[in-house]
Amino acid sequence: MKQQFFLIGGFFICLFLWTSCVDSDDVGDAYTTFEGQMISNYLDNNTEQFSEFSRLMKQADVYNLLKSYGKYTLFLPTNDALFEYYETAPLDPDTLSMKELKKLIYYHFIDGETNASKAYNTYDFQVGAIPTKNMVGRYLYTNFENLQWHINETVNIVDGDLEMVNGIVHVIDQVLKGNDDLLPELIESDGQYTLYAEALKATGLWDKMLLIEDESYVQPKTLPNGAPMSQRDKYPDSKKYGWTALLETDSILALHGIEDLDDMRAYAKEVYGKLGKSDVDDERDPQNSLNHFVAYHFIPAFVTTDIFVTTYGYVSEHDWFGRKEDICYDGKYTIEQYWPTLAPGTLIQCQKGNLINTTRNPFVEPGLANSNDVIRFIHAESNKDCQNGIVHTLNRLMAYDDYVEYQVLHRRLRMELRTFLPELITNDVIAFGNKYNQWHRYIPEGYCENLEFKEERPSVYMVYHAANVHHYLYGDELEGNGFFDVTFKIGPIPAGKYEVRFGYHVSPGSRGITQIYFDDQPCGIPVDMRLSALSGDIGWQQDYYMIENYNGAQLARNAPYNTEDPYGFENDKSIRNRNFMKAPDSYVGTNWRNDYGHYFGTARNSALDLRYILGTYTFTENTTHSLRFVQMLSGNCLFDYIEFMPVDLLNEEDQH
Amino acid sequence: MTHKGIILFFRKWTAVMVLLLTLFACEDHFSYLEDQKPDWLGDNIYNYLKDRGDCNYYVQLIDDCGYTETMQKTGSNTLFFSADSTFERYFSSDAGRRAGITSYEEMPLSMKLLLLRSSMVSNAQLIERLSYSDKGGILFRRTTMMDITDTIPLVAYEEMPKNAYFSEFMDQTVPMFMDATQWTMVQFFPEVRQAKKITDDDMQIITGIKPGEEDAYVFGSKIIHKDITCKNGYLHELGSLLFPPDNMAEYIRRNPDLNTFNQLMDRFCQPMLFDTDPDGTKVYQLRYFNRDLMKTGRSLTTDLNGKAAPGLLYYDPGWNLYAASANTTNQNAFEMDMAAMFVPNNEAMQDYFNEDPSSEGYDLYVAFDGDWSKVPDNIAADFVANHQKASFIASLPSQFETIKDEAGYEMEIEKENIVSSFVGRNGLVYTINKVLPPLDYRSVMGPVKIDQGMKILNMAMGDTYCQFQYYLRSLKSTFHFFVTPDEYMKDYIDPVSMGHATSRRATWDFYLNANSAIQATLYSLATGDSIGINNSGGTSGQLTSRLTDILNQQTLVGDVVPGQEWYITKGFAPLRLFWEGNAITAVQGAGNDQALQVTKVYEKTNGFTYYINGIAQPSRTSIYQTLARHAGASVAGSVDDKFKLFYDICNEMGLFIASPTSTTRALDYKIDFLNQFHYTIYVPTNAAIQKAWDEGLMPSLDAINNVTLTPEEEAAGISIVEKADSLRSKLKRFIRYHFQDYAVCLKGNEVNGEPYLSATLNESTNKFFPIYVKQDGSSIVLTDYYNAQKPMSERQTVRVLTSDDLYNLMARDIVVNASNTTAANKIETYSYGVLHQIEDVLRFE
Repeated sequence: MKQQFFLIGGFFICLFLWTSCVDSDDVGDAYTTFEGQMISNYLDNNTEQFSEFSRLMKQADVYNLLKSYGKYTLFLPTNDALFEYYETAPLDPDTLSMKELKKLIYYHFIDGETNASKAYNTYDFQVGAIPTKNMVGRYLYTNFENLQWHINETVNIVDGDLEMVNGIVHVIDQVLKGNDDLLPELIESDGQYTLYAEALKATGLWDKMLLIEDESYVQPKTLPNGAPMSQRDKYPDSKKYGWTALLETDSILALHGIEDLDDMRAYAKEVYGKLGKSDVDDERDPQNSLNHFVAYHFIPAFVTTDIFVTTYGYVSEHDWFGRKEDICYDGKYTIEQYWPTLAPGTLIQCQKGNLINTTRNPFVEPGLANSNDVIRFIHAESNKDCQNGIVHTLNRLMAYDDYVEYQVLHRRLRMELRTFLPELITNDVIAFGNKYNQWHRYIPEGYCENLEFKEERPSVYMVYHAANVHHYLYGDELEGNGFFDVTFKIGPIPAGKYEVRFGYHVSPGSRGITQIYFDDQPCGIPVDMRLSALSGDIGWQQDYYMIENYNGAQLARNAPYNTEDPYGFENDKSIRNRNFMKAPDSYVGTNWRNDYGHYFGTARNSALDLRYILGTYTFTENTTHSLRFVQMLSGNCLFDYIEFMPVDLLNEEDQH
Repeated sequence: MTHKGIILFFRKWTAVMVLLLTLFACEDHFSYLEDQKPDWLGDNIYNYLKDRGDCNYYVQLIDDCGYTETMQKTGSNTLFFSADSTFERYFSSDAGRRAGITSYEEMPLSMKLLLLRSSMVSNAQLIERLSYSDKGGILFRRTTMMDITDTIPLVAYEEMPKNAYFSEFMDQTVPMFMDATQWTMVQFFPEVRQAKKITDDDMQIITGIKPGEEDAYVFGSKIIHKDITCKNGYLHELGSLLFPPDNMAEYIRRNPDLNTFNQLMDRFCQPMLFDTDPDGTKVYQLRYFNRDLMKTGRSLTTDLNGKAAPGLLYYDPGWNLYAASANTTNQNAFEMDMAAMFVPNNEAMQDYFNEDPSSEGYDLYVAFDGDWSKVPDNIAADFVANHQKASFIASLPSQFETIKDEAGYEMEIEKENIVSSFVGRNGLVYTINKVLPPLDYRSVMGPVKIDQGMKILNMAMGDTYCQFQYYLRSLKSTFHFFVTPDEYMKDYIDPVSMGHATSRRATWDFYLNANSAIQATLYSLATGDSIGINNSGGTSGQLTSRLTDILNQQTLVGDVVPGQEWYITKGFAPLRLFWEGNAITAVQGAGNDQALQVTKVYEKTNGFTYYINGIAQPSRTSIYQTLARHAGASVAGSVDDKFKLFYDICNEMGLFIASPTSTTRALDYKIDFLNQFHYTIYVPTNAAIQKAWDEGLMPSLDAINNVTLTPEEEAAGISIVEKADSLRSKLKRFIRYHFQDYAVCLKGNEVNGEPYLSATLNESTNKFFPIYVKQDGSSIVLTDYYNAQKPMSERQTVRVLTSDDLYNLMARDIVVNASNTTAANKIETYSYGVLHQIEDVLRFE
């Protein structure tokens, strides 16, 4: 039998040898390898409309792009659009350098293949940025007006959703072009934010936002295990700087009596004073009220409106999730996120629907997302981007005042640890969506200001995995590996007394034993993250309510339960005694939909997801803190999230 | 066509097709170029070297080794060669003289082969290309054409490690590899240095050379001309002869300055048969015992006799193909990194033994008479291993500020501590002027590790059993660690056996068996006879279950306050301390009949270690038994009826359960809602309960058992069952309010009115009603939640009664790992309770 294999194998080897030496390009008419046409065919067949774009691509020697397989989205300007652009710019395309020419062309392409995304048709558009940047690294923005999609506000799609073998073409009536501004320049040149432009200069904040890229960053050449990088596994290509401005226009400021810089100074002073802070005279000092007011409007990350609040995995966002009525509408369930700003000690709270700094809850006030009672974005005047930042316009005046500090932020602050790593957001390390097993981004040592660790190849390194099907907060994974010693600078957190918790995922086969330190103090003895929540040392039980009604035992692999404790309150108390808590019931992994065929469990029902109570701490001022993880026994660790729970609210805490 | 015919057909035609396709299929249009060569391509390697005129030794070397034709005609090769002047420099150098080589003619063939073949790399590769593996990974080390069998060393007994494993070679010289894996070349090439973050300063320290940006080095030898292009390969000219250096173990053994360290290290190696020649000559290789820290699959934990090794290093320092991690699908791990060892010189080793009590090595000095040769193998292995670092890349001088040892401690090494360094073929050896003791020895584990009379607990703490060391390594925590010497590791009353038949209830005596594994002999509690041996090891074994229980019981986390008697241990057990002034003189578990004396105390970095003359035994009585003992004549074994009504209520309300799950069983009963933690149970007097019944504060048992309906209830359609359920629920909530999280003992941790949660749920908040507790060392006073709206000072208080000695009653509910206690062999879970009699009932509403 073995001999037969060799013989037959030899025959096939011969065939391969033979075929491998045939010129594969020369397939003639006899072979059809796909249906439909490539984008290049489309251009070639419609030269009357697109000959100029074809000519530019050939001139830039990139025309083959249109012939290659891929998932391109091409916003294709017509000949008229290009000629009009040349005239109004004005410019002569034949005098452009190769670099300039490529930039002009690539501005119209999104490469879905390279970015593990897709070719976008108009059904995918939402108001805001298209999730994948174009080929020059800039977002394109879509908005829907007059029953038509527009790109970057003014560009019309005249013929959309033309599906080709290698992508989708949208014919547009104007050339897409970006600006070369830096953020302060954009704010000044826009014309609607003159007061902020003036204030940026007065406070010196202007000068802090002039950087584009950290040229000293050198992308490592290989992965920690020595393997070459790939589209799936890589270190960030570059380290760009980015800021997001949340601004009120001059006219909105005027509605609040702020018509000039002195008015702004006065307003800022009043707000600052109510916080009990002592003002300093030097407006360039972060402790100055004007500086604080203005700086609060800037986030040190490049954040488009569609990723301002991550809703991925929240139970309210899944049509198939069957217990929304139980969970989402009790007035306590929210989807919210926090953004540290340039003003020291401050956070912006943002809820689903991009509602900013409010205690109100859109889940029980359905109209809130469109109301002017709360601060939100004016979408038509947002997502104005430039080289190192983006501007969003607010409908109302935003300030870090006593309402924000004492009411809005006096709640359970649950933050994914990426919150404190803005570099990862600005540089597209964070994938806002399910790119299961397609998006592994390694984090270089020293890349993030608030993340300190020492990479020791091949075993000690940090890696980010895009959201997948698991029940982690936002579904994604920020992971430390090996015998690591990792310190996050977290916060700022408003002054107060908090119970602090760390959310993690158990993995008996791969985790280690970890000593956690908060502000350099050990949080008890080391935590064995290999330990299943079902072990006696943790004592996790499935909520009987789930078992009785939804076959919940299966969700935790036949975990124990207590019929007299249907909602798990007693078990919650019991595991708290051992410093653990179940995961929240506000999010879920899609794996449970797929694996179990029933759609009622949440992360709370997973015996592998836990919160570890680090301790109770009193903060006397709004400041940042250190959170350090030191492996005592080597293994990996999912750094999921941190929670700050005001102790005076413990008695009212929900399970969300 | 028959089956056989098909085979013949394929056989015949396959051969024809192979021939045809080989001949024709790949015919190309460039055959006319075959006799052409580009202008820039040089001559073949051999001719190039010959034509240079200054490489005569190397040409001779090629001829002598029989590689003339290979270097003339065969491609593709990469060769690192040296010019005549380099040879001559070697011949006149100390190294040459030491080797007895002062001219080319004196070089034996084996040396020539070594020099040539270790300089040859397959395929033609530029330096830049040599920096990468085929799959694109950075290549720090590579194998060469050199094969270990090119030269088989003959080793005299005098040159062998001095341990018993080598005694069979007394007065002999035998063929023996120092390791029988391939040798590697270390490439300090620009691309590699950049990718591995090896700074110029690092290079200066580890090789003595400050490199230029584009300079490339093989080991410490500079490539003075690189990328010389020949017809059949590339040449790179070295500034010194490329004799592959020793591996780390060889270097340490041969270096007289490292003799003391080497004597410790060489205790942990043995000769192993590698091969037998056709003539019957046995060829050996030397291997070191190691635990394979990096999980590469190359551990060696038993000796030639099948016995446990006398000690385990982290890795084998002689392993030529050393890998700092397991191979990946993309790259062999040895290509990415090598090892590093920090080896104290003789002077540092001697200085470490110091009679100054404040010095680091004092404990060892005292224990072993200041003589390293007396240090037992297990400690010696710990010491040697602690000087091993798995990764050279992570041990560069530029990393010293944050470098940690393999146990996770900061290493406390500075550049100033480096006396010299040596780049071996499998790692770097730093000779240092200080000892880096295992920092476990500074922790509360230290005395256990050093004391040879403490082997059982030492082993129990380790990876094979309880993995307790990972907790005790936390140097910023504070521990009070009570340790039991081997001689007292006996008479442990096995709690699991208490569920077995009377004759199987046992005490355990622990000891190390012939394989140095922990074992226990079981003795019947009833007869005292030996009834078996338990050697169920492993991290989930029965021994580990018991030893973990003991370690948990004997470890206090946090500070202690002189005079305070009761503490809660890491395993949640109450433990009593006896004081004289500020000194702890004895301890007692609730299950010990008498206190265990503290015989020695060590102050360590993260706490104190106390020697005790026995095993601290947790309570052997369940909460059920504790209550039943005072439940009145109707209950077997009762001595009085002081807990009768409370017991009756608990019993009637189903608080005592036997089977928490289908696969576990309480030894007798457990309290339904108490889980692995420590609790307080407040037992009101019978009079107080009767009074509460009389006042209607809670339904009585009689009322529940004899339910009658009022006319109004009948009119409302309420059934007797519904009313009984409602009354039961009310009584149950009432009685559960007397069970509190956290054990508060009289003379325990002082508390001043702090709220502790009870077991009764506040249904309006879904949280549990609190009890406010004061414990000042002389009394315990409780304030309940009744009238919670009033100021604390105006609310009812209830005192713990001490007059009848019904306070601080210690109990432990144990659940075992089988549905039938007689089949159980491990503790599944447990809870501790301290019971106090109180003067009145507690109310939450």
